[in-house]
Amino acid sequence: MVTLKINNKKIKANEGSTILEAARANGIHIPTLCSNDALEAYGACRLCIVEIQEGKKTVIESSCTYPVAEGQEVKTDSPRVIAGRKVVIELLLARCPNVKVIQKLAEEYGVKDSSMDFGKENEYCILCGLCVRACNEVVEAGAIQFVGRGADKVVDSPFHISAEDCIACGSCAFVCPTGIIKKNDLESSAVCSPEGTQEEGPKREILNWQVEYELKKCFKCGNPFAPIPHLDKLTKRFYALPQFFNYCPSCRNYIEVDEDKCLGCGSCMENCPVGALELEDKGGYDKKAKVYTQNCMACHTCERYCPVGAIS
Amino acid sequence: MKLKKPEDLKNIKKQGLDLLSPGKTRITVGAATCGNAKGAGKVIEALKYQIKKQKIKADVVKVGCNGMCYAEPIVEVISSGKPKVTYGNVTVDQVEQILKSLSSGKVAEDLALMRCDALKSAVTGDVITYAKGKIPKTIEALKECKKLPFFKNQKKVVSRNAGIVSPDSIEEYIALGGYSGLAKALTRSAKDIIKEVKASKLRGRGGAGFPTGIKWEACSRAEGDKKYVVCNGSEGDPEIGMHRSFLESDPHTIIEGMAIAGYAVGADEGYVYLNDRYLLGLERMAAAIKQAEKAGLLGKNILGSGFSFNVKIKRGGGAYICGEETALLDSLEGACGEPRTRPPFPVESGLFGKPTVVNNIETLANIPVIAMKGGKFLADIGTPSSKGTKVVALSGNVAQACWAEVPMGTKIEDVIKIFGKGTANGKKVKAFQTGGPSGGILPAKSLKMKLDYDALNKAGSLLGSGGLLVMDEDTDMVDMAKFFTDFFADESCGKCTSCREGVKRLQEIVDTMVAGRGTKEQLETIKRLGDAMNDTSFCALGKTAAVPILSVLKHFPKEISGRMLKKIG
Repeated sequence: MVTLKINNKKIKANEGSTILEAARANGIHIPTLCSNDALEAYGACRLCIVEIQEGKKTVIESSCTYPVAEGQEVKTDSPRVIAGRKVVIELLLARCPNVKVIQKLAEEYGVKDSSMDFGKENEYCILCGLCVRACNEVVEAGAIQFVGRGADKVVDSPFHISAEDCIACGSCAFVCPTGIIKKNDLESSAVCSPEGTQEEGPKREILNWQVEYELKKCFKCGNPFAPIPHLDKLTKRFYALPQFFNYCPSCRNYIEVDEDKCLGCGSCMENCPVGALELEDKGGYDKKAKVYTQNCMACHTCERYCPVGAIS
Repeated sequence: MKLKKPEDLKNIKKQGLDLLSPGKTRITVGAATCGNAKGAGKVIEALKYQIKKQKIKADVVKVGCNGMCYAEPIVEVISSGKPKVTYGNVTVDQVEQILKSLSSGKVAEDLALMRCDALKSAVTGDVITYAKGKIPKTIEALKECKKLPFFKNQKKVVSRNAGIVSPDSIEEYIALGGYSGLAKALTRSAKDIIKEVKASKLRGRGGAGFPTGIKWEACSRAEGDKKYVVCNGSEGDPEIGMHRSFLESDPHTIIEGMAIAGYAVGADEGYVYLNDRYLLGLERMAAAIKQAEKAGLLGKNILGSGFSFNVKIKRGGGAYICGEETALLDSLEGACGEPRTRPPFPVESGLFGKPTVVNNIETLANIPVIAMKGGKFLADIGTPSSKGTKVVALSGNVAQACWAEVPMGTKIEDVIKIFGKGTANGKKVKAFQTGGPSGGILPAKSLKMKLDYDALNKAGSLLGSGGLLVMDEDTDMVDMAKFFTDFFADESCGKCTSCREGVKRLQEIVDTMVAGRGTKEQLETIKRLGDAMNDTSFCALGKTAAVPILSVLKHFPKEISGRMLKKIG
């Protein structure tokens, strides 16, 4: 543990954590656009800059990338920080005047229409890189990347054509703060050609990466629930049974533990791919497995590992 | 032949000395890019043809650049017992005249620049005497090179071999004390070497001026099963090319410096990251690495010390951002060059996540001399805060475009006067810029400033990699500001908002100014934007992108206001 001061408030933080994490854990607000807990710090949006004093040295750095250290004095809203942050917002507003997140930030910091200073543009992407990093770090699909550099930089699929490695999971659209990634789930689709119209099943399309994939229908309820390549990837990644994704999340048989049979050996917990099982103390040496239903994805891996058949 | 003991170097040294002052005539031609561009290739062909025709016993050797780029192609003639005679601006037609005068023991006086009686190795102090006995009168009439202002005011440490040895010959490099620094270093402990480098007070010659010894110490302390040494040869500045010159003139110095660095920090692998546009440099570096491997000066168990070191070349696309060490590492790993977050610094987690020392070509070229002569040798040269020498590349409106190695603390005025011979058209110097695009443009009244990291930083510029761009009175400062702003707009990697969007807007504003449509409010915007970019940008490129335009605003406000709101027609 290290002790530091943020806005003159003494704070204890874990060694190795960032200033942003320490501030957030203590209820101190720092605005961010490119930060996400599931992703590695990137430091691109420059909104989270803070003034850091370490000994005699004062620097302005992005709090999402700067680690905490003993004796630091951090100011999250000194005049220098606010001035810098305002210019960043102004630059973003000039680039994306119609993006709601930016408009809100501009309002919060009292930045008026910046078209007075700069030429007008109407972009929607702020190049925060959340979609790119989610695709590469979390989904591990690597379907999209930054293309070009400097002012010409864009997020795109390889060679500006349909992204081959995209599994249409929609993570990019989920993390995008501006909503420019267009993911549409279509109830039904059709291909029109001179030979006639051919009806096709439900589909998911992501317009930005020029992909569309069929959605899998649940064997039980018949509702489409996820694109097929996405499910294939998940099956491989979690070593799930091939028939596992035949059912939609709401139709799956979730795990139940028979506490009378459970030995408390923990083998289910060790083998759970998503960490949905834990051992609960029942007093003394007695331990029983407990399911956290919100995490469970009903893959039944634990069932295979239970030595006494207590899980069903 | 593989060298197994440090003593084996002596054998090669003998071979090299025979090459440098042979029984027969040795004719060297400056064939770095500057020479080649001015026709060195044709001169070499003509020399070979004439030697055959006139039946002269002579070797024609390609060497690098000795700094006098303006006088290329330079032909130097060493005939046994006579001083070396240097001819400048040699054309194909003049080759016959030079060779004819050679056979008759005379010189082609109108072409001769200087003579050189003896050559002293900067590393070992050995002297090679060219002139034996009486010097012919015609040659004696020429100026001795050490008395020429161009060489008298230089202190050759880094560029000690440039233009003298053939870059393709390891023997010649060893003859002038090459690899003796490595041999000496290998007999001492790694800690001692770091101590010497620290004592030399050598600071990184790339831009930031971080003390090299402290960098090495941090890397040697860092924990890791593997460590790397990376040579930063990605010179992205638009107006300088002295690193290219080093690569083409003396690649072995860089290899030796890297090997010593590897020994000091405990690395066994090194990468030379080179700008892909430096075709000749790449070729010569690759050849030099092969020679060193063949001689056993790279590879396993170097000189029987048990220390192993390998060097590989990696080519970069030549982006300006890839001169920044973390972006360089990204590029080395095969990714798109974008700066990384610091901390962790490369000395803790660099290439492939391993502790890495990244040093610039010029920094590494200092190392063999430090290893041989001790840190004090370098610490005795220069100013209190900046030690050693600095290679300065002069360009812009100077009469003589060249590079020269001067002691730190030399006045900029003197550099321009002595080496550049003033401006090309004889007019006064109006402004100058040091340190490449990231440096500020300073007015003529700052000419009295000394070459010194801290003094230049204080004045709002930086020493950087040592470019010195001179502008005379005819130069339009607004156009200069536009050039550099355009450069940054082109070279920004686009990672962070403030740099990517900032330089785009700066470019727009400067464009309106150049067109004569600027307003006073825009000047305020430039200042506000520039300050914010300095505070908020991710790396040094963004932090300094506004420096050229801000320095023009500060030092030449009249020119800016003169260009504003000029009605067209």
